[in-house]
Amino acid sequence: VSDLKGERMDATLGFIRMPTGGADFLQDGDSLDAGTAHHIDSNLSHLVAESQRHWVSNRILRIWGNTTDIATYYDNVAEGSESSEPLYTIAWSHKTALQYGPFPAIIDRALTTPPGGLTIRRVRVKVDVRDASGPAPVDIYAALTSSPEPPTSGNLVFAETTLNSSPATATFDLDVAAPMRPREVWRCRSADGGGSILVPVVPVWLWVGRHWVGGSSGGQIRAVSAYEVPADA
Amino acid sequence: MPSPVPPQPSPADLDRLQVKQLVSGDHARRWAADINFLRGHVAQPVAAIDVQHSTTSTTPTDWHFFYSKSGGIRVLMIAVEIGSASTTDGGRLYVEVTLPAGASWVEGAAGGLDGTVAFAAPGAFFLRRPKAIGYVDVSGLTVGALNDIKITTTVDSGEAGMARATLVEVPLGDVRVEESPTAEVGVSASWPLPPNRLVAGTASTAIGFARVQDQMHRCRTENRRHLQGFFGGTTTSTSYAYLGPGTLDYRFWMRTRRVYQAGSGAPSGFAQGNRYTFACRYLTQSNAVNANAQLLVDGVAHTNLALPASATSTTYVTASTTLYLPTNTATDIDQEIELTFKGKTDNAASQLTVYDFALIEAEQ
Repeated sequence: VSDLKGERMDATLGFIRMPTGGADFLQDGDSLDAGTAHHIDSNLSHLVAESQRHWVSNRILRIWGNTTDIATYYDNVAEGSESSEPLYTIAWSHKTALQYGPFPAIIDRALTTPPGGLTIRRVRVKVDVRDASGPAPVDIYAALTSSPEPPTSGNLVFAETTLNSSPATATFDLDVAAPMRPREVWRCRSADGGGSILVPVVPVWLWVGRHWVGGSSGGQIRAVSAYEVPADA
Repeated sequence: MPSPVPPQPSPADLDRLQVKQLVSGDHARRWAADINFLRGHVAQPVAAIDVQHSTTSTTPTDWHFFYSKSGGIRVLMIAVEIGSASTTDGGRLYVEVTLPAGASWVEGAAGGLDGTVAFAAPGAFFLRRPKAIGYVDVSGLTVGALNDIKITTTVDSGEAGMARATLVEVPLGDVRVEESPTAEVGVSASWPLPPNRLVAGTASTAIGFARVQDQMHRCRTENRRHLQGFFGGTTTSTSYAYLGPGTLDYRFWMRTRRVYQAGSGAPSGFAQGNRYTFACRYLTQSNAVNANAQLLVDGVAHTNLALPASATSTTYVTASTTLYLPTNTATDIDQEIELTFKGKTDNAASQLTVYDFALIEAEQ
């Protein structure tokens, strides 16, 4: 996979300072020279390469359950009763999962293996997990979906990890392996203020799930961060 | 004539530009396309929270968000999911968004978020819950200004509350720079096409090299990436302490944007760090005592923010400062930093209550 970004003169050099719009930069009728074009092309490629966006930074206010009492925590499944498939272990309800979005994804990542095409940027998810009483045995899941339906109804990518320390960090790099296209329209405003127009977007939802494995109180999700990163980060 | 906003950048190699050779005017097509992509399509998420608030109290609950508009953005989408923790019945909930001065709902697009609709809040056992979506015209807001967007939820009956909220800027469908070059962002896509001439132009014309230069710099400076969602914490400590229960810290991460070369090679007058506004909504209690907030990067104190005593012990106020986040962090994952927050009060008889912290990009 690779990001759609142009070549830079030197990636570590970054943005090369140039005049900020003075009319004497190039006069009418001047020929465009390769040196100037190099600088502008490189600068734009660098700005594209550094255009990753921050999606989520959320402290979690709720206290997660650690009981198998179905009446109280009807979908907080304890170890031994989970499905053989991690995706189906929890119900992805608000008792066991966090949901964020929709985010209008940017499709500028090239798939270099079949089926090819363009897909959304890599999303890095970092989950801060704690257990005040010691180690934090807990399964943490992360998924992207193309609708607000739970990941079990179809997902773009799903990942899991098990943590057994405190504090602990679950890190996921979510890469979608299928090409994507705009599939929804959002409202925007026309430039002249004359009412709303419709804009095609690629809406994506982020899910973070928790499955209590054991311990005195179970690992608690304390905070979630998510942001786009380059394919080579 | 509108110019399109491409959904992707236009990658190009530099070796096609031969030194000592003239360059075709068509090369400016790529400049216009990438500028319009960066200014019109790279819209920023503002906040995304999952709070699962639910109450039977009919006293309104306020949720505040900092918002600083990115250059060129016209519309902000606000999505609020309504839920209930009741395991027997649900409830009904009013949701009213208070917009900052200069913002208004896009015609007919408040989606019930103007407080006119009592949304049904299904009980705890329902997986599917209603989501109200409204579109806000933010074209009247000043780029870089720090605004407050308040979501007020009021229970109408039963038990209900805001479960989740997402605020994101909406990408542009097009830019009409030829009709309104000063109000619109981007570069006319038709300018580089033959037989149009390559001209100097100005920053305020739709075409020309000066326009390209000006807009390229604004691609660099008018992004407003937001990090917010701390929500709550108190301390009576007179030395910096974490604000969570039991002085627990909450760790956040982000990837900073490295615009310039690290080290001494940074251009004169420009810092290599990623410039941000560090804002805090807070209140102080008892005796008009001042307080302070502290941002830690990778566990090390980075920036202190003075929090002057609030006028009352019930009404939150805002303080902010400017800082530079490190962009050369090769000790862990390059450009990725861990963020934690602390606070302290100047007198143990008082208490600092933090509602939220925010980091909002303010590159210049």
